[in-house]
Amino acid sequence: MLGKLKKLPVNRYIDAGILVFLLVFPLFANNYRVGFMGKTAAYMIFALSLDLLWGYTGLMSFGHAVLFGLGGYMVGLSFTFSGGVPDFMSRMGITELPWFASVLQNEYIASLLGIIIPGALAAILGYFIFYSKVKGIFFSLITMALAQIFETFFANQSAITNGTSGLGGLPRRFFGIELRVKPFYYLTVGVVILVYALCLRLSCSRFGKALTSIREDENRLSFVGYNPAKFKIAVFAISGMLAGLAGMLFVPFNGMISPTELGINLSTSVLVWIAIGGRGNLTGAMLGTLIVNWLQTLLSEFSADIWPLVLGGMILAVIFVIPTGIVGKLKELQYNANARKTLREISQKEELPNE
Amino acid sequence: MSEPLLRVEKLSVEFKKFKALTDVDLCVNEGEVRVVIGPNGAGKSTLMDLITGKTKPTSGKVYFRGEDITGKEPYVIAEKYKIGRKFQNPNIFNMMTVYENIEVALSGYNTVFKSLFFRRTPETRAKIDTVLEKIKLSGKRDIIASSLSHGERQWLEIGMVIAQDPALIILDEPTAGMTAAETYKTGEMIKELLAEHTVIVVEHDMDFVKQVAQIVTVLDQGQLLAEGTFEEIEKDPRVIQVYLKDDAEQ
Ligand SMILES: Nc1ncnc2c1ncn2[C@@H]1O[C@H](COP(=O)(O)OP(=O)(O)OP(=O)(O)O)[C@@H](O)[C@H]1O
Ligand SMILES: [Mg+2]
Repeated sequence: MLGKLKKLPVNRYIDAGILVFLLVFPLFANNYRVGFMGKTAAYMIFALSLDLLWGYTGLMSFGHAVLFGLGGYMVGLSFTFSGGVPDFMSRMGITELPWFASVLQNEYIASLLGIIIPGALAAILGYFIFYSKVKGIFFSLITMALAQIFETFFANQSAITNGTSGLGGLPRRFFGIELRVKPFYYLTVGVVILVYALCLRLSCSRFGKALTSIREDENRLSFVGYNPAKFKIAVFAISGMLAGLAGMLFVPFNGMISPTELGINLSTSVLVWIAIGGRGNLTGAMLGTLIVNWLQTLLSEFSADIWPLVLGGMILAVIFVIPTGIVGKLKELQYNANARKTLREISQKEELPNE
Repeated sequence: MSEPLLRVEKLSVEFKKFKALTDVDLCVNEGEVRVVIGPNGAGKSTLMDLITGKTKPTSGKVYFRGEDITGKEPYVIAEKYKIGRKFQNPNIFNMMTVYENIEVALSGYNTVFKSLFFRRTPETRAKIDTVLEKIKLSGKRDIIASSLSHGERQWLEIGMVIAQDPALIILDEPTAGMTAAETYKTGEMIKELLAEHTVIVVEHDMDFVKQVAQIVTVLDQGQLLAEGTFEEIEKDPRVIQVYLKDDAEQ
């Protein structure tokens, strides 16, 4: 048992640490802090979803916030429409809700759509991108353009979305459950654990190995009998659904949603969180999200100008000193120690005559 | 005569007006070991590219068990027709462990759905262990592939091909760039394969060719130059000329 524990990858201990931290946090913090931590927990789900896509499969999406924001907008619009024509609409002289409002008014359907629509968008987009053999930087460029398009579109459709001011006064509800801050926080942490378990299961499965092989050399993989395009579409769709789910949990803590939640800023931020934490091992995505978001609030309270400097420093450090991120570096150290031991054992065996 | 396992008919390919392969015919029967030789640039690798779907031919046909597989996607040829290939330069997943490289190649779970529900069972473990034994990398199963020696990388790729359970194995210069000791070990490894599989092997090492070949196919400048037993080929004046010319150039 103890031997088995010792063999565990170093990041599993960090996972356990993060989990305990999330669980005990509300015992020592006020509601304001718990609300902030709730947003961070939702961001962790978001980062996990992107880690599947970028960390494991090597598809660097520069527009992942679109999928996050769509999830958020589904529930946001649902709450907004639930009380009939909202104020911002009547102020524009609109007296009737748009045709799709009756669908979204049903909270359960809206919640399901918050997962399905981002997943479907990713699947459709993936179908066209991956079958047309768009590779590498072009995937990043297309997704970046997508973020720009969606951000502008949601800002311009002010008759429905209230433009750049966004939808406000949103309650803390998730699939029909309305809770106070702390219980809602624990609900969110529960979802974080489920999503983490799902991602872990996916990454350890052969599906996950195929994703890593795509990152390494997708042409080689096709000669082993896989169709890489199908795997990329599948992982993009799964990633999109999880991002939408993250958005649905973020909005209740935030109390509002605006076009910035589906734009390039957030899309780039989440890439930075993952890069700092370390990509392709799930732990790094969660740890990076936690560290960056917390440093940001703590330092901003301390002084207004210091945060951009610290963030810039962290990005440079990751690029030049630990390109694999914090967790990536730790895993490397552990692997090197193990590999050295294995190789020593092999060479000792070979030195024995007639063995 | 019954249909051969692989039948290549008048296969040609051009790269920007350069005729890399012209009207090549080739038949390989089930259980056969075929060696393909020829000077550098003769089109040996290109022929393998056409069979495995990496390159689409300009004209001609490839039949596998009588079925037309010309121009099909590489993953279809690998998965449905079970043609496994080892590339000339070791082509493996560098940042994955030896074990993971073999695991991903293991046949039978290559669709999204099946791969999602793949579980490491005692059987799959045993199968991977057998492959690791065969390629003599059992001790290094947890080592990242990029830190293997050149020879070991070649073996790992041979292991990936074995794990695919192929009906036809294509080995493109499996001993290229190896030390003498490694070449010997590889020879033993391949001889084991030959006993159980249909194999096409591209090779330069004449001692090796003599040892394993039943029929040798000689390519030169994209064309079929000669075909026959090693003894026949050895005596063929055209083959001698091509190889002498090659030697004289060097
Ligand atoms: N994709 C390609 N585009 C252009 N030319 C190509 C391409 N592939 C192969 N060739 C050319 O076709 C010719 C045959 O190459 P090929 O790699 O098949 O030779 P080979 O017999 O395998 O030689 P070697 O013994 O060096 O491996 C070469 O002149 C090569 O430059
Ligand atoms: Mg070649």
